[in-house]
Amino acid sequence: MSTAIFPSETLARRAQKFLAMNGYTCALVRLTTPKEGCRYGLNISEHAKEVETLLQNRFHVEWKRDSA
Amino acid sequence: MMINFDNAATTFPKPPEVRFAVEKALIRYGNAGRGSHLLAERGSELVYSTREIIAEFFHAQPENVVFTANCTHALNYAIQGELLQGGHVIISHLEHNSVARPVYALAKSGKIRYSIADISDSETEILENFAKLIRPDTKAIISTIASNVTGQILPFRKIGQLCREKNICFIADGAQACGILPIDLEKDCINILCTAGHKSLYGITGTGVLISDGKFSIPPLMQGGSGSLSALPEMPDFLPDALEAGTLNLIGIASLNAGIKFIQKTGMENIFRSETALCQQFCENLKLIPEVIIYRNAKAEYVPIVSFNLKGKTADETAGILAKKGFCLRSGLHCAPLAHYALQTVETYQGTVRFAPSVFSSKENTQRLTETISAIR
Repeated sequence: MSTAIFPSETLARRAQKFLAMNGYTCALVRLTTPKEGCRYGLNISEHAKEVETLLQNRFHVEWKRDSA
Repeated sequence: MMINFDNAATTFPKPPEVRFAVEKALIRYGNAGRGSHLLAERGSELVYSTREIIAEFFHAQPENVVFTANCTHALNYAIQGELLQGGHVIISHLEHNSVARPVYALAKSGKIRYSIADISDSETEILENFAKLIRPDTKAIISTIASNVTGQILPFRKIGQLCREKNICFIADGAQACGILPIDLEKDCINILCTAGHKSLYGITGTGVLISDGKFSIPPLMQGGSGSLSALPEMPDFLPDALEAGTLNLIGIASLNAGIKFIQKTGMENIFRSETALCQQFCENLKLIPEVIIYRNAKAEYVPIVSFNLKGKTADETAGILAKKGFCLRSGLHCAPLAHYALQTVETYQGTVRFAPSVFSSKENTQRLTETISAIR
């Protein structure tokens, strides 16, 4: 699973809607890190490659990828 | 009997949908952007969906929609933010104090200089008046779309075009126009649109919006919790978080959501047509009363507002008599002294009396009002 990370909840929700319009569902989660505090992630478990390409082309997004 | 014609101050009554949304908000929403539990999540969904509705309504991006406490709050952010580094700014003589006072305060502190463009009934003349005041250090034109005193619509699209050509920021005060006139940030060349939520957008008091096209950055003037990047000592530098320090007014946002949906359902053109018809009826009836002065000009265009006076009475006296008969109309300077000085209403009448119908106003009540004015003589 990979997580697309956004600094703003508004942008994360916009990206989530954009993916839904393109037929991909993903869960929005709140992520807290000691360094930065609250950020927002979209957990992507299916069609990861297509989703990444879609998001990369439209949003400034940071990725966290689970190696498992 | 109580008949409201003071809808330019705040619309009353609100649509039933808005009252229902407010009641629902009280029992449904927690604090948006402050957690992942159900109440917070519902709040966040409401906030985002309202940003989307507003963005679509004014042709902007959802992340560039900032919720504020009122139009004055939004204008202060825009004006003080854009002029943080100083420079020169142009306003019109129809500006409300929500524009005039922040500009004056910045000028008084020596940070900026400003010029005031005269407004006539000629679009060409108005544009020339703005254009000739532009200097190499001009940072912005800040102008109302429609006067809150006379209702005169300024050629805002052409002012926006002028700003785009000169690469200066156009900050538009849409308090009396949003929900009445179609406004499109992109087509109308507006960089920052500020408006109230509680007037013609039919939300409740305590709501306002700043909508940016994203081309000019607005630094935060207030610091605090934003629900994002909270370990950092500084406010986030991205919209909307940069300008939304502290808890959002969720009940107000719910009302705004319902208010805009009400406008979409009713049709903005239908609202404009119905209110304009009442203004025409009002003016035609007033013209039959010799003691009445109407502050309108056949050449100019107006939003549904009519300012008038009765010879021999101050504006407050006329409005006071009408109030005793159950009519709510605002009198005085309407927080827009520059407009009243230009209209020369200050000395003799201490302002004007303002008739401002809403979509819920009726022909019958407009007729009653004119009959009552006629009987005052």
